[in-house]
Amino acid sequence: MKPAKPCLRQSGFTLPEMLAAMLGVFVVVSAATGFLLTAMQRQLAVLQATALEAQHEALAEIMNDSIKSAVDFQIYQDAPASSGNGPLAPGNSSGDWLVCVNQNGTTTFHFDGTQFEFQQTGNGAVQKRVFPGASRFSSNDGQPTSAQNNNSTPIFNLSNLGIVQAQWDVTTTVDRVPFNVFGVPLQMQ
Amino acid sequence: MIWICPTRIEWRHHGALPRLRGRRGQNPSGAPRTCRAIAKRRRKRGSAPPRSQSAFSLVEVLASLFILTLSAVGITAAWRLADYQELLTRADRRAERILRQYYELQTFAPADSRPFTANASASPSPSPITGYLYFPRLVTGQSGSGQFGKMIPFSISMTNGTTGIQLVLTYAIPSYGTQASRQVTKTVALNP
Repeated sequence: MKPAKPCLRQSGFTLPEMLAAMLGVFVVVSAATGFLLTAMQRQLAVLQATALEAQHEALAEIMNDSIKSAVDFQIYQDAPASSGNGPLAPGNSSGDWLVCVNQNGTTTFHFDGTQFEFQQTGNGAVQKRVFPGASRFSSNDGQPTSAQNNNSTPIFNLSNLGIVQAQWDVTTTVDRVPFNVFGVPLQMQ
Repeated sequence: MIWICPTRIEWRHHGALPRLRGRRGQNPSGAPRTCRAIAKRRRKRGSAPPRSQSAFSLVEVLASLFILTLSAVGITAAWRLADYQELLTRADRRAERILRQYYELQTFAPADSRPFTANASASPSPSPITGYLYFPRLVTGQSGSGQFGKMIPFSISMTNGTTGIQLVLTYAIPSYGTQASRQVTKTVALNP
């Protein structure tokens, strides 16, 4: 006959207790991790949106200053030919290229469908910058405008009265930011 | 009838270990020490089996749940407050930018292209320009036309105030908690 096992009364946890405790710890840790990840993602999205908006604000400032201080400017639908030191070739009333000539040199803005390319040439130096996240202006939404807008509207427009207008949208991770730049060149003021 | 559990030896005596007597499966007094036998003896004595005290009580579990819930509510409230502050900052910056645009246009554009007529009376412009400052990205499936919503309406008008002709931009920031929605006004004086 097999001897009976002695009764060992130990003070440990039982298997259901351990499973329940592990489940509880897992739930709490999962919730905390979810909170943390969500907070980090939200913060990252807000930071990216703020940075992108700040970049385009800087672009709008540069564009505004370039237009206001331009002694010569033209809007082109296609890439302009180099004019050397001579006057700019005749352009169009609207397009995705804007060339401004001022005392500091020549400033070129180009929208290629997804981003702005900015190039400044002066005193032998060439400065280039790219501003991503741009799209064509989609709606008016109370922004000042001098032309009818739709999805095929070029970025740059020149009104009959000499106002250069640039309109575009910036789509960030949290919202859409319409940008609207006006400028009256020196020769028009 | 005291027997010494072999798994728990107290070293109160610094001498030799207490000697276990008896056959295997029996305590030193000779009584069987199987679980069934122990339970049988306890039933005879009429005493209830000892309960394990290693589990959490209901009060402890409820208290921990309450603390966890408070933490979740606090974190969520902090997020909402941070979002609200961010929204206010963004709206303020955009309002200033839009006001600057209109100021430039009203100041430097030819008379026919200005958004407001120069002979503004003391009353606000009859047709203020309106729009929105914030176009939040809509969550998929959320009701609304298009991919972006419209929040924080604003209006711009030209008034003839005490400091001369000025552009006035007014927008309404949404309510938050007990704070009611309120109007924010920004003005810029136009050069005469």
